[in-house]
Amino acid sequence: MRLSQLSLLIQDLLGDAFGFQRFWVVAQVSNHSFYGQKGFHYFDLIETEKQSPKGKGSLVAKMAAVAWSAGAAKIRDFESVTGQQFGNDMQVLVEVSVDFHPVYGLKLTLLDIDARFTLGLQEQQRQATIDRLLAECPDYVWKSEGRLQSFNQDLALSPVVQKIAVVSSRTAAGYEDFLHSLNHNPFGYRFSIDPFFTTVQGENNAPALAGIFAEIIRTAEDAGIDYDAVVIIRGGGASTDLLIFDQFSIASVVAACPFPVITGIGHQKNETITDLVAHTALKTPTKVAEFIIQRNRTFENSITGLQQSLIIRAQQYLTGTHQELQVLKSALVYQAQASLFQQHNSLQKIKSIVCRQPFVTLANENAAIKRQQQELVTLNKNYLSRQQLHIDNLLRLFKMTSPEKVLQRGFALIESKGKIISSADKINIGDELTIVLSGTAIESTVHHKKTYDGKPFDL
Amino acid sequence: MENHLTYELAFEELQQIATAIENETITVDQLAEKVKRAATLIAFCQSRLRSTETEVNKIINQLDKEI
Repeated sequence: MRLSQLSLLIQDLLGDAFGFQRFWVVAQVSNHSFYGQKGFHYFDLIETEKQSPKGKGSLVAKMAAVAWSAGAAKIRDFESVTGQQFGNDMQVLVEVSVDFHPVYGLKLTLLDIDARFTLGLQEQQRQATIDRLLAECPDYVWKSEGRLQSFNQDLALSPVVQKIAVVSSRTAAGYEDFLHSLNHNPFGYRFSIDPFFTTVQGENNAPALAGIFAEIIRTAEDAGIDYDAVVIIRGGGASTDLLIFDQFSIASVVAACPFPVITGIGHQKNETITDLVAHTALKTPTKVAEFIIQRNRTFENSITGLQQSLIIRAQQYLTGTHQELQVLKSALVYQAQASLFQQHNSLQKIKSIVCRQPFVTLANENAAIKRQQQELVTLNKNYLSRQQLHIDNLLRLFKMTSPEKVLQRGFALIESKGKIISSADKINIGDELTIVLSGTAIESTVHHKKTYDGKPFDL
Repeated sequence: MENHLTYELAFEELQQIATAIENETITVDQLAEKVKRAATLIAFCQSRLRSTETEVNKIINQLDKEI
């Protein structure tokens, strides 16, 4: 039998056993190669004995596999859904047919690939990484109200972001977009940008990417720069490999980075763990640039607003003060004139008193003197008439007591030796006495003398 | 007129004289002398008032020009 005959026999047998049958198998990809020209994938599907999550166990099964155009199209869909490049060490659930070719031997042909399976695995891995972050970096990553929180998120992002460290691959189109968007902003903001170039895709490059953060911190310390933000951008290209940003090493350095980290790494569905622990996660480099410009713009607007309200306040204050001054001024003018007017009046009043009053005083004095004079005249007159009356009375009295009147009333004068006597002491018996009556003198001699006690005048 | 005579002092004295004259507490002997003194003081006060008024008006006019 010729080899070709045996081959055909196997082909027939296998065709009978497996022809038109499809199998969903779980396997790991190995020895992957991609022929871009034709768009075919060649790889091995292997199964290993599980030992540790990452460690390679011993091989249990290994079969060659291929994805032709149809399968390759499925793989492209798979890549865009999972955000993961089909390649080595990937755990997949694939639908295959079993084919045998006399020249190429036994091969599995990939017909379909289940993205959900890989996503589920990814999610498990993500969760494992998150758990590891929580367990190993409790100072930088923790959970609060069910949400992942990080030290980096607690950092205050400056209102004005100007000093920026950019982590990017040297050739990334996204880096150019970022620079262009920043530097051609319509407001004329200037930025100081320090690029830190490294490869930002491929899980193998994680140590280099993590090392970049140490370099940024070192540079900042050496140069005395306090970066407002560290921006991670990954951009352009067709590659959708974001797994590097789900790596523990990257997420942990981002969470602990002393400068606020802004990501623009272009995820479509799930945010990477790096996005979760970064200060701010945005979709694209351009978005990051817009975010920074908008933030600075907001700050500038608030300054402009303050400036305007300052101007308005100052003007209001000035106007108010001006009005106050005007009021004071008119009050001053009015009061000064009123005060002068009042002084004039007072002075005028005093003047009129001084001018008029002395004449009144003098007139009063004059009147008083006249009154005095009048009084004197009147008093004189009265006095004289009173004196006259007095004299008249005396005269009348005198007249009434004159000797003639007395004699006429029956009294008599007795003379002795030519003298009128009023006492009988010196009269002796025999003395010659002359008794004078009104109009008659009687000569007589004393015959008898005795004490007489009669009171003919007792009225 | 004595030195250092101020409007205030002059006016005060003037008021005293006026009150005294008004209440006739001044004797006729002093009257002429006091009236003479009052006339001097009135002349002083009036001239002081007039010059102050002129000055105030000048300042107010200046104010109106400035503000």
